[in-house]
Amino acid sequence: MLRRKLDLLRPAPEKRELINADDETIVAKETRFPAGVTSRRQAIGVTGTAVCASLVGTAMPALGAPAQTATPLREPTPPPALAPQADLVNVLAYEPQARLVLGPQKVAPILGSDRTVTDRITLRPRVNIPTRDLDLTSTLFGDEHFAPIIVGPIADQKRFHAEGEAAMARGASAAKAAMVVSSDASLPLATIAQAATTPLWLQVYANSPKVKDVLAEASAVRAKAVIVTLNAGTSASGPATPASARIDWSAVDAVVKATSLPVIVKGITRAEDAKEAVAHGAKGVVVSNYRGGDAAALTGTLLFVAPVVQAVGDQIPVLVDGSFRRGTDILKALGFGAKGVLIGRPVMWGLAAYGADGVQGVVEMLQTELARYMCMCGRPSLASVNSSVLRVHAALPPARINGG
Amino acid sequence: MAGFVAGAPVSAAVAQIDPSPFGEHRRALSLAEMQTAFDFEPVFRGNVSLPVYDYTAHGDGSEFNVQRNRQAFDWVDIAPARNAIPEAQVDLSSELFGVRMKFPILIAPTAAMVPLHPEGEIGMFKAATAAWNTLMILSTNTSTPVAKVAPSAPGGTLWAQFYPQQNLAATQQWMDTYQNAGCNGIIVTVDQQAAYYERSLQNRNLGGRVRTAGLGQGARGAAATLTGAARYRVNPGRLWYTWQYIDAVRKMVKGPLLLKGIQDPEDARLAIAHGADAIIVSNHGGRSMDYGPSTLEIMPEIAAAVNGRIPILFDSGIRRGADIFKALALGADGVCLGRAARWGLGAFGPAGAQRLIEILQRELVQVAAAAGCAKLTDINKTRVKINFA
Repeated sequence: MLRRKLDLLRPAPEKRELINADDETIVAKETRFPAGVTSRRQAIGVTGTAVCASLVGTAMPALGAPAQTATPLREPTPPPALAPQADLVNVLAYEPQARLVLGPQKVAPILGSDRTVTDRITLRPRVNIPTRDLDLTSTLFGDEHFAPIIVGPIADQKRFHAEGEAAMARGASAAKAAMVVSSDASLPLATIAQAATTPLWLQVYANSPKVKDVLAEASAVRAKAVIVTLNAGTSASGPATPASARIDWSAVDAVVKATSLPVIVKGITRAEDAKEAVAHGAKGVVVSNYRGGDAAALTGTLLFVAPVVQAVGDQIPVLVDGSFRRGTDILKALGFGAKGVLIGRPVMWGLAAYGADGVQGVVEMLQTELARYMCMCGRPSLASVNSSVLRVHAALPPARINGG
Repeated sequence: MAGFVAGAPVSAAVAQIDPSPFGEHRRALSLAEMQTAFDFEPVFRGNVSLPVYDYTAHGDGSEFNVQRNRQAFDWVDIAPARNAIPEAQVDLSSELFGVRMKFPILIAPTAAMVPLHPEGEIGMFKAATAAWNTLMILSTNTSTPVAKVAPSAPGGTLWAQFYPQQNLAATQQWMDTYQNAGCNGIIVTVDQQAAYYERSLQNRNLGGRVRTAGLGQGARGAAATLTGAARYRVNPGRLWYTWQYIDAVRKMVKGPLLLKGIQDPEDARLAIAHGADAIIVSNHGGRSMDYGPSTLEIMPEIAAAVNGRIPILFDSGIRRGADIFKALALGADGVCLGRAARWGLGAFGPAGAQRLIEILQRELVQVAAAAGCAKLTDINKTRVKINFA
């Protein structure tokens, strides 16, 4: 017995390296109980002896070789395996798949969500209202939309997928969703238009010098609307404009004058700005707090929608973007009076991980979720959705210990 | 020797010490050690496979609603009583459609109990009956036929639940089966029209049971021939429900008709108008609609709409006697136990279910005594403080 204990204490050289290895998991892995130690209790006895012995040993000169420098002995991690797309159960599950494909640096601009506002709003379920004939279609700027979910503008999509906007357009079209193309797209507008069968809208930066050329191109490919992004500088990569900056309405005027297409102003958060947009010829607004460049501006926009709808909702459609990740989020926006939502990051997750199929999957998932919650709230059409579908709650007291 | 000792890997040795040396003596608690309903859940979880556990635990979508059901009980305080009374003075008995109840507690209809325990629904009915004749509602998705369950516990009361069947002849057949078996009360569940369980899908991914037959969220695209909700990949099977159907069922039910899944004051008024004898305020334990409100939050406005015209039962999230007290104070006439009862049956069989019901009964009496409530009518809004809005 004693001999076996002493054998256990023999410092095998490769084990001594581990003394310096600054990684608990490695130590734990490499110091598994040796064969012959049958139970945990027995092992504790053995290690207890080892500790005592070592304490004694520290007082004596060490005869063994000095510890070598630590070498990483990590178990090779398995290569990242992309989940089959059919296994993803919600839109948020696409985010880690995009991270897998892109790696931490490339994925950074499209990570994150802010759904804290959405958690303060509940939906109002109703019963015995038939919804079998559910209809999510609506007409926006002369086109019929299958569902009020539109693929939003994201610049330079080749950053995330080799086929960039072409794959995005194919995916959006497969899901019967309209798509907004960024004027900083990585492909020519004509190429993207070729891949799309659903309406395309074009997004421009109001102060960009190339705005005239872009608008001419938009007319050439029969884009259905132009979105002017406010306060976002001149390009997606440019510096962000502070939220307090005044809106440069002359730039909006210039775009309205330069195109015959309906102009939608994106970046509205206040009722007075929405009224101003209408006065300057906007045919629609997007409630959004996107300020270009930096990805930090993520505050939920849901609570900005109702005041804007109250100000201009009877004249022009109000759209909204910002952290829509579930069908319930979208139904809440519709409840506040929005006519549609723009989806940004989630479709990029889909594109990055699965190309056009991923885009289709994300958009269809949101359509299906929206449809399910409309059914459960007894709202068979978009026209039947109003603020009575919502309950907005005050910030609630923190939960106490009632969980058991 | 000295060399060996000196070179002994101190840190490695430390890492070998079990942080909880008594860990190997860890064991599942016995029935006699159960103190609260929560104690049953881990035992139940250990007894059944993951899909069976999750079938009991899961909720719709992100399960926000499952969590909120529990949180809401934290948002109501029981007002400290000026004069507590001895427990012996508390009598919470009542009568519900001719059924004498010693406590205002029922067993909610939940599906397939045989996977929880071999005695299944029969075991649950025996347990409920043994626990002061607790009324049990049998689910339409029972794994034991109602004709076998009903006679298994002499003296007990069994009611039956079912989901609307669009075919009225099929509906009549269900009614006959239930009423011939002796189920007087009939519960029609009207919620959960298009629920979807992400957790069960994750199980599929882990090698569990595949639950994606038909149109589901996993299904992509939509055939050109589809119309209505099916175009959006929603299973339309339960999207036809109407109040006219409730009128038709009303004529088939000789005893009390209860509508389960009412979550809106307007629906409560409609239920009364269409002949419901009682409603069950329920969000199906969070299994009906994600991001819905908790049942406790909506209880006051529904109680106001009903205004005492018919009894209101309450479920979704009951785990303690204090939870029952809060639901009663906000206007419920009784509560139903769904998941909790399943924990009891799954953990220790019928004895466990009985013990769990008795624990909640005792807790309720303790709370009522501490709050100075001698009878059910004493438990009202003045006994609680509502902190939600």
